[in-house]
Amino acid sequence: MKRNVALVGAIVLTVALAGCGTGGKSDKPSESSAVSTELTDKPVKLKLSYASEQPITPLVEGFTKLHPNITFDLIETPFADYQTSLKLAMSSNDSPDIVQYSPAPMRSIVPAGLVLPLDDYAKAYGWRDQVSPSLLGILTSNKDATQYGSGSLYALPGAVQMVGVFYNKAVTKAAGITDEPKTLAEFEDDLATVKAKGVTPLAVPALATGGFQLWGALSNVMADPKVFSSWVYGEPGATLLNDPGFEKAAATVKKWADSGYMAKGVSAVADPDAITELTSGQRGYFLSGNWNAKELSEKLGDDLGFFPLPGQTAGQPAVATGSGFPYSISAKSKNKDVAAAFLNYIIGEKAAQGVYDGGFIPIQPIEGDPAKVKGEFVGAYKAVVAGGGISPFANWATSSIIDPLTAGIQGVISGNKTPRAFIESLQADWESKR
Amino acid sequence: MALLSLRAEGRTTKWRPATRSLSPRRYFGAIAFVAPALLIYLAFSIWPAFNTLYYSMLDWDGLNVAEWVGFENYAKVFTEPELFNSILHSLVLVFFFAVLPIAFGLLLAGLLMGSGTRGMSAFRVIYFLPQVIPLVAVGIAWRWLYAENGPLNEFLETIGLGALAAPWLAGTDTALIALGLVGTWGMSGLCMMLFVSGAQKIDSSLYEAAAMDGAGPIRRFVSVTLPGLRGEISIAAVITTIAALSSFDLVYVTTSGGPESATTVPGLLVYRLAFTYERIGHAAALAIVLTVLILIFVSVIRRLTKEKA
Repeated sequence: MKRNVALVGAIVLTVALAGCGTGGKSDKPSESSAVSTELTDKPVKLKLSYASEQPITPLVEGFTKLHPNITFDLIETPFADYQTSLKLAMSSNDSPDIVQYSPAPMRSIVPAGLVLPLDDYAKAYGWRDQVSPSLLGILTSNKDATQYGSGSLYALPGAVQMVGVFYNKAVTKAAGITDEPKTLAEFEDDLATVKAKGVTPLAVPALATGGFQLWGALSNVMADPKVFSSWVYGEPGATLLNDPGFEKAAATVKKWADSGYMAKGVSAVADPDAITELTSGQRGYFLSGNWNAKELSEKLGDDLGFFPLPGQTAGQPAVATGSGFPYSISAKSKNKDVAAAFLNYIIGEKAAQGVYDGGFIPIQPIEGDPAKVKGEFVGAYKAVVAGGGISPFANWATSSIIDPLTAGIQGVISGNKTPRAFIESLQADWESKR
Repeated sequence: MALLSLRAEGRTTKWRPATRSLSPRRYFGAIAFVAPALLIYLAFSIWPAFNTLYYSMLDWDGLNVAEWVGFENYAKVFTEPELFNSILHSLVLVFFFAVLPIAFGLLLAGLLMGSGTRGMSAFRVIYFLPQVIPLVAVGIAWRWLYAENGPLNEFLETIGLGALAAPWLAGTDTALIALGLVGTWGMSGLCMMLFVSGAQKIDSSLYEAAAMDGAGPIRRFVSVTLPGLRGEISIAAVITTIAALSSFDLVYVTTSGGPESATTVPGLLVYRLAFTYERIGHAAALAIVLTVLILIFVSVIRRLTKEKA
């Protein structure tokens, strides 16, 4: 029985490795330069491969409504499998026309020439003027995909995902907290107030990404966001070691752990556990992204609140970790002009309402209902775009940095690693990849 | 691949040479019958295995042009502390997945045999249940059991041992042991099943003879049952050791190798290297090393438990 499991495991492993191809070259399709913004009136079916159901559903439905001759063949793959299968999908002869862009696999897909650089379309449609530059950073890279933030544009975002603080209003009200905090010090006071009521204030799923995302959010407000983004984007010579803010952010995570603002066992708490902790009222706050908004608001309804992590002073420009839900065009697509027209639609005003109704933040800011959490997202996003901009996710910096990030912050929380050693281990991983 | 042949070795008694040669017609007939299974075996087991061996010599991200690096990837397996530690962790797991369950299994088998057959099938079902549940579900359930506010800690509080309560999977010194005990829980029933069924085929006259010589229940177990179970113990040791060394799913869903890399195992790192770090060659090299390690373990176990003719 168990032997069969091991056997199957071994076979799956070898087959999976074998399935990665035969270690050869991929044929690089020639890039045609003639681009057109005219949409055909012939029927076209676009094959679209993606990992997250939202916000793509309202986007394709909205586009087909405007252009009934364009329909979509949708292929959904769960996120973890999507990452690993994207390379195979893009190198196959039957490649999808449009794929959801994911920074990790694109590291090898972009150099293989399988993704269409969008610069000609960007010029023709004027895309760079319509989208906040902080959203395009990770979607722009050199041909080897070693440095981001400059070079060719490889994808356009259809909606924004952003990290901030979710809170359970029932818990905060019971503790006597009426306002959302305006500064980090006020937030720490609120955490202490909730703690004094006997409730552990913060849900931190440090088993996976939750621990280092807390560090990332604190770094946004304690360190220079420009240093951080240049580091993530791989600019030569970038370093986290000279700005004390990054170390201070890690020290703050440690301080919060020692003050009992998070549970002792956070290193074994997974994301679904943290969601349950917040919605059941065992925790007051949960730093996470709006990808969890649907599940949280289904359980908490109007008791769910959201604010971006406040700065050290009230006047500090708002910064939040985030990204778009980006989509790329396959270099092998036979319907590049149609696919580009779709990308042009998703960043535009016509798509905004559908994205907002789905609980996501549209690229073009619209008026939201501030009493609802999705309205708070839109408000927070506006403040961030007007302020310091969207800051990239730390785990994009290198393909292997997720492990020093996850294990490192677990070490900071347990006290086995100093904040300084944590920052140094991140820098060491970064430098080993340059 | 290699595991398949082990499997065959575990089941069949001895390879017997053909006593007479087949006529050409019958020969091709036999080939035709064997061919479908053989082709599938070659295509999905042998070929990928050799392919993995080939990949282990490459520096390759899975898509772009690969570079031949010879044994460089193997050198990394033995010099990078992270990879080496994962092998040590899996050796710790061997104790919890193999040694403890075999001891428990023998104990349970001894107890069940003594009490006759009443309620036997109920016990079998209960102890075998962990084998039926997918390991991913087992992992998630145990993550909850071990949680800071989970049932295990609540139980400790209730019986007045609250001071011992801890977030078991979050501590660097407890996580690996906690994981190992999940394996003990899962494997003990399997071992017991093997031993109970093995014990049934022991000639009952041996027990009578031993009893007449004045042997008590313990002496009968040690002198009659244990030697009679030699084959089953060997099989159980092989199965559970392979499960320990190649563990992946349990670790993946309960701790992901954390906290602070305290529970990384080779299987998990093969997955990470191949699919997160995009170092296919490196992952293949570690997979090959893991396979060789399993082969060594299994050969040693088979040798130790070999019946002296």
